[in-house]
Amino acid sequence: MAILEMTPDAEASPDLVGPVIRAGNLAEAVIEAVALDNPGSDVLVLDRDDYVRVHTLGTCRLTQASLQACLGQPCRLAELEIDMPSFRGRLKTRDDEYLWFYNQRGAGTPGDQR
Amino acid sequence: MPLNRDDWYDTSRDLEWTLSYVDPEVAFPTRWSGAQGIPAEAWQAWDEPFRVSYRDYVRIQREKEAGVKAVSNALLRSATYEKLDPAHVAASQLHMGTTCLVEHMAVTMQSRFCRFAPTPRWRNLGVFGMLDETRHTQLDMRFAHNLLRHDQRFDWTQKAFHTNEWGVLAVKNFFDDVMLNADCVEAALATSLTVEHGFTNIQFVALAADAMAAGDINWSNLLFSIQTDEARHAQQGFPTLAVLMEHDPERAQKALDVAFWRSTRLFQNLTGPAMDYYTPLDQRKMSFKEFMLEWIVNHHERVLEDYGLKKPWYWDDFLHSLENGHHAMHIGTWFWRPTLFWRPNAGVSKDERAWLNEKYPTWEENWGVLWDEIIRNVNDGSMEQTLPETLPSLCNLTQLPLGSAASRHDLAPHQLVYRGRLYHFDHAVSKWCFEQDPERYAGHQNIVDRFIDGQILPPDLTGGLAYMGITPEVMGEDVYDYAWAKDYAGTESD
Repeated sequence: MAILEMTPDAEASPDLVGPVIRAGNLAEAVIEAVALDNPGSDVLVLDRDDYVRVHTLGTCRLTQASLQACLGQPCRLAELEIDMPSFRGRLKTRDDEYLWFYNQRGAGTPGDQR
Repeated sequence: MPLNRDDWYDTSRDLEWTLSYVDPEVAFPTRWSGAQGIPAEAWQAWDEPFRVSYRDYVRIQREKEAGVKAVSNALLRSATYEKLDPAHVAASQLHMGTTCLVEHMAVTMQSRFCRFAPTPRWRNLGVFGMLDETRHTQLDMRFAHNLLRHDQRFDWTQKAFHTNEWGVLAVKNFFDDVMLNADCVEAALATSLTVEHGFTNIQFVALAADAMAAGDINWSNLLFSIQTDEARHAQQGFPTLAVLMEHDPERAQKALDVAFWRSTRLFQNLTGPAMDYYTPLDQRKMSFKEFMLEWIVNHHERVLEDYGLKKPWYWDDFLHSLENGHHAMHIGTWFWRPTLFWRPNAGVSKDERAWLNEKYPTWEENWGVLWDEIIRNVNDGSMEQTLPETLPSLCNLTQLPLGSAASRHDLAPHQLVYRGRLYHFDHAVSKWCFEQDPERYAGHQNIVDRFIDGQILPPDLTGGLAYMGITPEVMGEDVYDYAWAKDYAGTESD
């Protein structure tokens, strides 16, 4: 699957989950790591200059191993917080893996702007 | 072999005494815990999404602090403040005056979680939340203190909440209610979820992006760093919501519906004008409405629905207000500019007006005609016609002006009598909020009530300004000295 630029329509998609990261090296590494950790999903990226949305559909997994590999230096997932002002979806955090998800795919109509 | 955090986390977070000498209701009164109607064992399901240990917390916060301070110190030396657009500076003064002491109030709220939350897991996280909010207060103070030598309006970072300035009273009224007056459960729903998971993203991420584009790296960096704490401790709200959805879903829905409307109205005042009028046109990222759709509709509401909540019953009213409410607040605050402690930008030059019409197709019909009248008066030299002689009528729930929740075509009286007193509201939804818990709101006197009650003397605008603590050095005036109106001189906007 591919890393794709998020269109405005895709941004309104109800099932997107994943982190929002301050633009920079870490955001680049998170994009690549999310691609590695979610091989069956497209990674949708929305770059708003100051912050970057890195989302997949339904579930988004990020492991410490992939993040370290993509960052090219030792890094603990807990450090993600330093440059993560927000995230979309529910979150489960463990030492070596963060998981963003929804329990109910297709629930709600967040794109409903009538 | 050293243990990982996950190996010992469950043990540490469940550290608790079994009370034997004290009645649990005395140690954890439901008045403060908010756990009424929820079986004690239900809280064993409370599972925080964002795990944190004290060791990690200290290490990560230290790194955040070092980053913010390094940027701040470098920018102080580079004299970037002097190069900022004055209209953008007004946005940062508005933010500091109306937010810094809210952070300080949040320390008290988090300390209530530490002491009275109905599970040790939550009490443990409250400690980190309390430290977070202390940090935010101190960051704001430090930022503003460094800028006092440029503009004493930054003194209002600390001073504002010790005055009776009307906008500050509206902010204070809301956060007194959802932080200081709320039990733990309600505070988690109204503050952790609605404000911190939802609306602060608009101010601390989206507006921070505008600030970065405007060259205010110092302020943007500060906002962004604060929100990284908020994103973590806001998560205290979700396991609380999960327990409530299991045992009292109606209470959850009602508390969130009230908090969502009150937050919408407040941020139409705090963030809307800053994004759509104060941020220089060529530095705007998106409109307030577009950011609200991204962060509140697509980002925030969707998660709540995953927990089984419905959209607020007034969803159509919310969307209509999104087109209008902050434009109403903007023209109102600009007109009553002597009552502000910052200098507002009208933001309606011809180019800015074209942008507003592109972003809001009903802007010209709803707001342009009102600005045309102001423009005519400015260009005719009839400045007295552009200034207030008295105070606007205010809502007894939001404390914001009547008529400011929608457009001029939606004006209608929303009133009720409770215990012999007539109350006025800025929208039918505000009236509904009041009706859900009238005793909670009934005693408060808004500025106009105090005026009529004889507490503001002399009973005119001068007396009102003195009561609000507005002094000539900070009194609001058009930030560009009406230069934008010259766009229309000789031709007029029509």
